Amino acid sequence: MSIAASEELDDLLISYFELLDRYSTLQSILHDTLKQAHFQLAKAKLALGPTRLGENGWDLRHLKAGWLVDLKDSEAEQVTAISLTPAPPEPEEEKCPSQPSQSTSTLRNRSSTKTATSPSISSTEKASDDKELIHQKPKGPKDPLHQFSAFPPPSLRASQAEFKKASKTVCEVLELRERMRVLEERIQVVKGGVDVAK
Amino acid sequence: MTSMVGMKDRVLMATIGDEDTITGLLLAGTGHIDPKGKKNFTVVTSKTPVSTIEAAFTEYTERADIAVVLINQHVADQIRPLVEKYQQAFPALLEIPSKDHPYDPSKDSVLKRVKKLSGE
Repeated sequence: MSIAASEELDDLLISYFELLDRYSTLQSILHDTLKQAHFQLAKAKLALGPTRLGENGWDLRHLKAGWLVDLKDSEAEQVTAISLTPAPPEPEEEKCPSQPSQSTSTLRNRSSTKTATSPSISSTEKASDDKELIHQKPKGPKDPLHQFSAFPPPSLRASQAEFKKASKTVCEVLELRERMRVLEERIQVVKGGVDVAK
Repeated sequence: MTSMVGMKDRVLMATIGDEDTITGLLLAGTGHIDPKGKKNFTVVTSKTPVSTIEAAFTEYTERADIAVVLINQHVADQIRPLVEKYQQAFPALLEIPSKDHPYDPSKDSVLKRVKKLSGE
């Protein structure tokens, strides 16, 4: 019995140290990514000026997260999977209620004016139809890049990409840490059993 | 195992850090202000009192809509007792380096637990 428990403990410890190795690697990747991100941000500050990329340059009106954390419980492994997913687009409901009456009136107008319509009027109606379609389409969150500059320099885009990558790596690190915690609990239980057997 | 009740509401990544870290994470699209005006980020400067950092930490770790709390390690050092005391699974807490302060692995909670497991 104690030999089996010892073997189980050895297997658990091997798995644990493998996870620890992966954790160290991921942490190293995270830190390097953040270093690159800060470096690119510093370059962008040189291009745009420090105040534009500082606290005074943030546009906090209607700030909505474009990336959200997704937590999923895994019953098999007893661990919560953590990942980053794009935020769902918000439908523009404010403008929609006014649309149906306009659209139906336009449709009615279109059908009634179809018989006697000059080309310029039909193109105007088509433009207004297109505008309605645009208003009814759900809009995703705005790219936060454009709050800092209408024509963001490549360094700012690169910084954004690195910070996004870092955010995703954060989720991987946290999930791995959770797996290690579950394994630690099992190790403690088995270790306790082995010590008692001795 | 963590109960999934209420976990669906946990979608935000909060940050307590210096200006550059917050700017970067806003660029990454994790910044959020809810309809009540509550932000999910707090800027910490050299003049920020410890009580402000503690209040932000307490707020983010108690909010039901936050899944992850990121904190610069040099900021976490200012509220180390509070950070050490924090044991909840969610929001998950992670210390990250800043531009001017590299990461100190001796303060990593996982590595501390490994030492404890190996009997050090």
